[in-house]
Amino acid sequence: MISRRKKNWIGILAASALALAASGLAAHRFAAEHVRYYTGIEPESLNCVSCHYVGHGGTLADRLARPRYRSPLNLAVSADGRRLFAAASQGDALLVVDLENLRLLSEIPVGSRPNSVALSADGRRAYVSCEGADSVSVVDLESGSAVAALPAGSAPAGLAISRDGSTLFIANWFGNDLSAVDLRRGEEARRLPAGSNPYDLALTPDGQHLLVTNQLSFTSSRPSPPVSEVTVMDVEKREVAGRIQLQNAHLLEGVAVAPEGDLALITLVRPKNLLPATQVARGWMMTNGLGVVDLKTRQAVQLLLDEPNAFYADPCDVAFTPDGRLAFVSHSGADAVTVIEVARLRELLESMTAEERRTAGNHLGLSRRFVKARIPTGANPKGLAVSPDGKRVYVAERLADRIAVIDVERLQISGSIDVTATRRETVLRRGEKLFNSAARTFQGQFSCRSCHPNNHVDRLQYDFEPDGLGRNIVDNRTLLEIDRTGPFKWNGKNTSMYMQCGMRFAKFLTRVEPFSFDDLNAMVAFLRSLRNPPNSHRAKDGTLTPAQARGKALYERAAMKDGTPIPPKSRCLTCHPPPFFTNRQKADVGSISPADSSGEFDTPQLRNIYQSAPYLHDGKAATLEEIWTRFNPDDTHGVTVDFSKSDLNDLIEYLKTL
Amino acid sequence: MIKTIPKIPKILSPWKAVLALAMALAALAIFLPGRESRPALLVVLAPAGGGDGFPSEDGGGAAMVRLELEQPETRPEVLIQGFAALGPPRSSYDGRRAVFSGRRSAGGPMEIWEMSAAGSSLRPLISGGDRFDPCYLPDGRIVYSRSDPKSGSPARRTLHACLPDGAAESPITFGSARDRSPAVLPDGRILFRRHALAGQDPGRLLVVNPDGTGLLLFCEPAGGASIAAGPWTAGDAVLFAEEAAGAEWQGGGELMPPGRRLVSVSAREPLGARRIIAAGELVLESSEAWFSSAGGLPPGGWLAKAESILSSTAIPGYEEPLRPTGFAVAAPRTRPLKLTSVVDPSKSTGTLLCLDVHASRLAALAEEKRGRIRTARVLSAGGLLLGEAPVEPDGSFFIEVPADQPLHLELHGPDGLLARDESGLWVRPNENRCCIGCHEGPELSPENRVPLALERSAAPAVARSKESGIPRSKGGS
Repeated sequence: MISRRKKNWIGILAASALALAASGLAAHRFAAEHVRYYTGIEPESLNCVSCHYVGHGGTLADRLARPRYRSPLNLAVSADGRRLFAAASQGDALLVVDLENLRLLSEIPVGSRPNSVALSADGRRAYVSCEGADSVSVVDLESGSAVAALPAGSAPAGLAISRDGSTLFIANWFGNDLSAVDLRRGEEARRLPAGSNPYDLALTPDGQHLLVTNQLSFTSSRPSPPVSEVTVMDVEKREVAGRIQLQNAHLLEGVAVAPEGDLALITLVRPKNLLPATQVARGWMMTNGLGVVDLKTRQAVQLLLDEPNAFYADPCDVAFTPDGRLAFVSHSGADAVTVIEVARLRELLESMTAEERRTAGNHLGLSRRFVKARIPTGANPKGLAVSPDGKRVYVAERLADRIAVIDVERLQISGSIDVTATRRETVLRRGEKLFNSAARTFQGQFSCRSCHPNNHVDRLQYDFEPDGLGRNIVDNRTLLEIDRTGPFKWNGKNTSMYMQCGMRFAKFLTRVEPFSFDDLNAMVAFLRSLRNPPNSHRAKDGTLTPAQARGKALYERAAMKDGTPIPPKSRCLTCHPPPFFTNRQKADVGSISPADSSGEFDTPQLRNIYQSAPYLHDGKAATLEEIWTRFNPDDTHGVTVDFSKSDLNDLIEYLKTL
Repeated sequence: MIKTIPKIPKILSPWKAVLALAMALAALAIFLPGRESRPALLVVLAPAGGGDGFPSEDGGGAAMVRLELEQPETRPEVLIQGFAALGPPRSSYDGRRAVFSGRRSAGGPMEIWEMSAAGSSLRPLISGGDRFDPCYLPDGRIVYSRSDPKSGSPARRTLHACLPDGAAESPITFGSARDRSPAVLPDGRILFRRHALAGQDPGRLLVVNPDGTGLLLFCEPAGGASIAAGPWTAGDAVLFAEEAAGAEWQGGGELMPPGRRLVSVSAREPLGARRIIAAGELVLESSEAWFSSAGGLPPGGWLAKAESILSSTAIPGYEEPLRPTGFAVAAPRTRPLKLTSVVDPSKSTGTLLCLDVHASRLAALAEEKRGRIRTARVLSAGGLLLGEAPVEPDGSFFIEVPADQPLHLELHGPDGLLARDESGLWVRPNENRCCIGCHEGPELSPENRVPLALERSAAPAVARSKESGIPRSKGGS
């Protein structure tokens, strides 16, 4: 006989179990719907932990261990060939390598985010450009320490020292200019205008000229093709001696001059952004190649390094052997180095008619006429350096934390120098590798980085397939701070980065199977980690210049100059509130174009907006000014009808500080 | 002093010991790799006489045996016998299954069969009608060549694909041609051979995505030769047999008839260096194809042993000597990435965008003065006009066309027809098919510019899905 009390307990327990089951079922249903809504996929392998914890910075082990990577980026070899110096881009250090024993000797702390290394002629000093410090660290190689910091512009990258050793040239990557630093006085002697995002430098053998690659094309809007520049500087006069323009090319990064001094090779990517992105085959999205510059005529011919059914994504550095017989090109997206037989390249160029030279940049079959070998490397090969005797080529395998050694005689990897500080691959690191690899696109044609160099924008507009050909042209959007500025896409349809990088990304862009869930999680974790570089228009103490302060007042105003109230929906702050200056809503600001299906677009964030021209959803505004001078005739994009020219200048000065 | 004998602890009772043993055996059975997971060579054997030394395409094999690659000295195991004909087998990417075409009895249809690589679970996947040359796609589906008796032309074949269980068979190529020997390239696309039905067509190798979109030329035979067999893929190599009238087979040997040569090109650049496979040279990759061109295998190695064993193998029921006609290495190999698809079966049309009709290997188009090509017409396979689109001054045109049927294109100027395309291209439902030009070189990538046909209007001209009854134009190239 069960007592009444027991019966009560059984009843309570049964009811509790029922309630628990019901609430569990409801929670499961909610979670499943939540996953479907935010990712667009069935919640089979994703769970709360994967998205809300691992996808936000890695696993618990990642967070506890905080492994540190060095990520060698660019290299320099000492004149005697015994030492190799590597800029450890994520280790904030200069790595010193013993080339006789192929081992890491020491790690010398330098400024933030080192990019390139240049050695003084006497071999006693190394200059290391530090992107994150806007300076160049001077390293005394005898004492093994940084002894000074030279001033530079915004995000210094490529370096070159004049033959007389008096001047250090610095490519200010984000500053669009070049610093000429007097090394005797340790002062910047002159600031020279370059093209768009100058990246790498190479001196001609006679030391008279300096070639500067400009990574991004000049701002252009459809239907104009992208045009990039190789800037030629007169070293002695410290002035621009010429500008060589390359049409339909961008991501000009590595540059090297042949020992004969007659030609230069420049790595480049040829985008196909003006075509509808309906396929990848046959280089329909982008092709990868070289600009071959005749230094006498200053004419450039573009040649592809790709093959008809295989692509070598993201060529990023180039180096000649001292005898000029071979040239090596690293492909950071293809994990490979291409070896070029220079004599055959010259033969090809000499055999071409003017028309053939003009169209050579679209010919996928020419590479077999001058490519001697393809050498597989570790993850993300970047900077190259050739030993003085020409017997070895060193390759910075950035995301493998390793430096590969190529035997020039056999054209094979003959050894490697492990510079890793940890063997552990974090979720973030895995995401970074995926982001920089072209292995997950059809025929390896491009990587995420190909469209988002420096995790930012390529300044191009694209015509994607889903909504029809020639319709809804969209400007590329930055990935910096992306985790705080959803929803995504200009139409705001993607509710999460899981959706942004998921099935539709594979279907319409890479054209191969989507990322596995683990890879997708790693990719999202990496994207969430991306932050803007320091704003070069904002004072470190936060104070505003008078013009910026006036602009701030205009930005925040609620009434026109005559006192007429501005409706809330027309105030800047309504749609662009801090901290990221987006309300994450869609709005119609009258920017619709004939090819657009709707006039409503996701409100973009404004942080570091000075670096992301062109503007508006389809990139039709080349400058911030044009947003209001050309595309706001009816005050639909903020009230600017009462603005004077100086008011607009003030507003823009303030916008640049955001 | 009394010594006590220590008592042996009783760990397991007898019935528990038996249970533990049974569980251990079960675990072994589950976790030890089965025979089908061990690398093996599957060989189709056919009676000697006839054949040409290449893996059979239409059957002719009669038995299939399995050779253990890790133990080549062991006798081959007969997996299948009693079939009237067997086509060459192809193994799955995990090496555990094999698919092949087979005719169970004389006069019966050539059907698609699948079995484990160990020979178990033999089953017909699809019955009814003749199907040939099956192979696995990276997504697990199976692609094969199918004849269509209803077309009125028994020689006509198109590629079809079906799910792993044989369901949902659907065509992926269209047209009045003989499409055969599908093989998968390292980039995940299907490579196949197409011959026109009319005349002595030398044939071409084409590529198409597994969903039937993106048809492109891969390569053509050189110097007036024709493609006689293949293609086969082996890693980066694509092999096919060329036949040139009067040409001597360079390798000699008893298996290769005079006038044929086995050609190897790179999948990455098919118009690059062509390599003629020499006699006795072994082409073997960790893929599904291998060949000994002629004169036997090179000495040494397991394949040579395998050949020796096969030559001395007597298959019960076969009195005459057998020789190998089709092979597959059943071992795990790298699976190409699966390709995504934009095909939408709910749609009935796709679009054609040509960037520049002057970008052509046809002199009539390349040399034609710009602006003189005024109209692009789309015709059905029957030659009736479906619709037309204006050709813009930059040579571009954009037109919506009915899906899943062979189409012919004509280009017209003020004086009438200038050129006609007889290749019979098609679009799949919802496919936006883009071409650089008309018969442009297969190594060209497009120029980066907005085609006027899109700049002026994003809406394509429309070709009617029903034939309008307008007779096709006369003349043209």
